[in-house]
Amino acid sequence: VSTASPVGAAPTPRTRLSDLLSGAADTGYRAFAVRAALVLTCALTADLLAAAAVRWLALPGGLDKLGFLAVCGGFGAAVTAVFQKGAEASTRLLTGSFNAAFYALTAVVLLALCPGEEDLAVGVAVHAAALAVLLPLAFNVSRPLTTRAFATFAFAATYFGLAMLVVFFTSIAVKVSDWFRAMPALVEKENRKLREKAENQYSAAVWDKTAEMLRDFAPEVKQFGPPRRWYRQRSTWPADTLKEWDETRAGQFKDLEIKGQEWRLEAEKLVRPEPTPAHLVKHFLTERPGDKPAQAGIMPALVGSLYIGLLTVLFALPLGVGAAVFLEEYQQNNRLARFIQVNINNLAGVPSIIYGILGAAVFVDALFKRLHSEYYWIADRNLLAGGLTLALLTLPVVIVSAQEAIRAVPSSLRHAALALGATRWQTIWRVVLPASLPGVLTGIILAVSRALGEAAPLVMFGAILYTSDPPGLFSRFSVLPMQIYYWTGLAEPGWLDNAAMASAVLVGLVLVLNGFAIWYRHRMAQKVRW
Amino acid sequence: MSTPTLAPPPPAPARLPPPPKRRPGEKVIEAALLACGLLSILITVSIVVIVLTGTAEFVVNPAISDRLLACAALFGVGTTAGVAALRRRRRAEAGGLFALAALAALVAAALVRSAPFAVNPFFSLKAFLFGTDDPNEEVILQRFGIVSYLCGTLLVAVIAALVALPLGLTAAIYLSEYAGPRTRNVVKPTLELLAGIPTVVYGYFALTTVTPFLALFVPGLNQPFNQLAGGVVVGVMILPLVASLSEDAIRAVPRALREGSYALGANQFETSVRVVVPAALSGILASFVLALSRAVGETMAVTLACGAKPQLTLDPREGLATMTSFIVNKTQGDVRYGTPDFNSLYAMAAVLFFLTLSMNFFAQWVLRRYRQVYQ
Repeated sequence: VSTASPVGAAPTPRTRLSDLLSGAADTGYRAFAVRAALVLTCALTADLLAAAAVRWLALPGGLDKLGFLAVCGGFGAAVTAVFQKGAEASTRLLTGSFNAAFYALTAVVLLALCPGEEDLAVGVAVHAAALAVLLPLAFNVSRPLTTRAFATFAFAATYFGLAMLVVFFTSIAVKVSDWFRAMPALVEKENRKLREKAENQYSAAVWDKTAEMLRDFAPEVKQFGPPRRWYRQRSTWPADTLKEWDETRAGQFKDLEIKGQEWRLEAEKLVRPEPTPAHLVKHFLTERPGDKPAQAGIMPALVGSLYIGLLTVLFALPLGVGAAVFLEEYQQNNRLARFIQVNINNLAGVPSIIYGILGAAVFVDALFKRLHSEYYWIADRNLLAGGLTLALLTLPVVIVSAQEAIRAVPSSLRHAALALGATRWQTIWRVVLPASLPGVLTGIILAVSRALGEAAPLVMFGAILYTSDPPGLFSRFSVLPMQIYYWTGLAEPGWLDNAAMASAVLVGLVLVLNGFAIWYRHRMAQKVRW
Repeated sequence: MSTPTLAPPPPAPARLPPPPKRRPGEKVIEAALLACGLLSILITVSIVVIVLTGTAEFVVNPAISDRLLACAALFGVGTTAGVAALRRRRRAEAGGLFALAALAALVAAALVRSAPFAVNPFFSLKAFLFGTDDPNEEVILQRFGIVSYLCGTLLVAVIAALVALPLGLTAAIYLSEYAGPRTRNVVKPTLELLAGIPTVVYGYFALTTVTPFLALFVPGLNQPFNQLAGGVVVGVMILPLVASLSEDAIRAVPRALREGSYALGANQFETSVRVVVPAALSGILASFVLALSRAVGETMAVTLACGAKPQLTLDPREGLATMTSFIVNKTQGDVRYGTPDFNSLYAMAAVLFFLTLSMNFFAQWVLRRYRQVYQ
């Protein structure tokens, strides 16, 4: 962190204390020593103050670290502010916050490592010493080394993000391949179970009938206990009894055999064919989320997500573009317009779960719950309410991107249209909006991809995890992120693999949209030259 | 996907000549467009009304109202002060007072939440300010406190900041100062893909990949839920936000400043760190604050990665419930609708809303206050 006065300032004839501390005078061992001593003193004081404050307040465990954080951070900021009186306000702010963070975090980390009473003193000493070495070192490294190190670090930081992307995709891919590996066995198991079930049903029916026949055939069977035991001892029966039994039995099981065949056929219908990857994927995309990992699919959630995306476009596009046109073309730069602008900027930063609370209160409680009692076919937590909520959530994004697009249309186009006698609205509708269409479309695509990925607002709608039918506009629904959340929460290997597969579908969907938007923006940026 | 909230306010458009004629429909159109704009205010107002009504129900239910009145008065005073300052057009002051108003609202909401605690005969200020009781268990005792949830959120935000702020800023410097245009054109959109990945998938990623990976290095890591994995994942999530917005701010610094710095003998590093970054500081700080507010409001990833156990510790190896996961778990659990227990989620939402709102205000204030306008 540089705390220097701006480059090129004339060297001060006398080295002041503040220059030594802030690194403005960065030569010589004297400066280093003075700085180290100063920082050591400051850090020790800060720690002691913090320890005293925490002790005085007698805070419970955990909060004592919070107290350390606060006191050390504040002290670090104050020290920086005092010793950099001459520097620019922005520089002071930056170094102050960095120093505060550094002070406080090292304090907390060290104190976390020494929880005991007697360790506290050690922790404070180590913290102060570490600061005393580290902070001046940060200013005292040689110039080319700093430069090289920074360039390397910056390069690494940039590609860290890309590496994380690669790691992310690799991890998803590994889980998906796990799914592909594990699923055939599970499917086979399910198939076997289905067949066994049919067989068991058949043999149970056969035995029921046999037992019934036995009872009629030999009433004395009771003295042998249950029929099963007597039947099992067939080898000990007299020969004529056995013969008689066979005669009785002949022809009696024809219809049962037919029934068994039917059962087997039914089972065969449920039995999934050989689980090739293509078949597995098709099954996953078109089936309902059952109660077994091997059978589960994401069809209702997928359909719900697509609906949600559609509804978002439907509601957010006209409202967002309308607001953007109002702010850019009609606003007189008056107080109202400014207030709306500030408000939109803030709405863009409101956590999505708050929008969920809004949607649950306005659309569900106030609107659809009442309709639900009147028109039974309207569910209270329906797809329309979800779509409206997500449209509200994405509205600020749409507005701001549409505003930027409209702002980018040069005023010469507007002037030309107006000069040709068009009214203001004609100018907007036929000249400005067509010219800004690429930007508007990019914004709406990004908004839709955000809406597809959001689960938090829909959590507020509650209990929409178990739907198994593809939703209609007024029915309860599920979406892909909710399905993933639910399956991940189950925390069992089979369900986790399914969640990975659903994640892959969702990420694919979102990335295709995002990628398209980015590509489109790039293409348009190259194409359009005003 | 960059949040466009940082976009500089539009340069005053060239005054258009008055339109030659107005067709009768124009007034209607204008009114409709105005309505579209007003919708945003409606949304904000309804959010505030809903969270505060729910909060009020939460408080009134244990039969207490004078505290609520006091809170409302506090909030009113704060808001009025902010509005009054706005009207005087002293922007810096208005920003500060507005932040104060938001803070007052925050305190009010916290007060409201802890009000039943305050009527406890054993009430003491220290116990209130540092009350650690968990609403889940203490609802019968009529004692509430959000400090443990605040700790969870704070921990996630700090870890995310440790990951995202230095990396994001240096990545921004690299992209704008060191990298060539081709690299930038490829790397920046690719980085933005990170921000486009759904948060619930990040949660899955944290749970199944990051936590097992971290467990290899961090002794005593609580599995499967811990704050460390959640924070790291949220940090990766907000990294492109910081990088992208800071890069925009850094690129807006005029070339002349850099060339002046080079002419004085500074090298690329010194130019970047001592000239360009201070010149773009307002945008950079605003991007930091926005990213942090995103980290505070982050829900699904944190809910999946950090678990639902409220506890008071700042140990990142533990899994702590955050404010957002509290809300999620209240709605997911079998809490009866309309009970104080359920309504406590509105109080939490109120605190969360005003917290992020004041952070956003702060970001905009920083942007205005420290903006350096170059020709």
